[in-house]
Amino acid sequence: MPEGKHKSGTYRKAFVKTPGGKTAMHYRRKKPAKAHCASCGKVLSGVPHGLSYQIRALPRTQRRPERPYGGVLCSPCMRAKFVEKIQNA
Amino acid sequence: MLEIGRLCVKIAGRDAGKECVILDLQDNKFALVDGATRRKKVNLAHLEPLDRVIEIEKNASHAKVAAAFEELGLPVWNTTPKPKTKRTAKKRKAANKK
Repeated sequence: MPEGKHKSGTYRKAFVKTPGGKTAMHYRRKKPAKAHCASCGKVLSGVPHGLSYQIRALPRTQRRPERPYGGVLCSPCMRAKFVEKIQNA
Repeated sequence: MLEIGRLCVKIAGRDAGKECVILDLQDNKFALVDGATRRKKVNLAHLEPLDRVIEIEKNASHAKVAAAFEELGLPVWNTTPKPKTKRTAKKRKAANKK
């Protein structure tokens, strides 16, 4: 019978092929949700999602794009923000 | 509209939000820019023109652009020397031992 913690939604079942040809069932932790754009809500590209220790292991440039609002706004929204700021000023 | 000396703001990429001046135009798609942004060839679609044109010659050197920007009170991009990382004593000892 599965352990108590595996009954929670945090774990998912992973079916793994063993060298003997049998299929074993392993439990793996689900990854947190993907990052979304703050204004249009689309999934952000260039931003990995994972447990905090996995993200912390990554070098800084792999955690988010290296442009203003990188990891917060998607590029179309960021461009629109700058264009709007210029036209209003 | 888009001519040499036109001040613009880069709206895409790493230098987004920074002012620059157009130094050269290439087949109506690209421009060489310099100023607060790095000196590079950029796509015109990534530039938002401002309503100012400054007196500057074609392909002006970075020094000239920096002078012009200084006058306008605009920031200028310049390369910051890479700080020498101080290796820990342990690493130095290991390196010297080999």
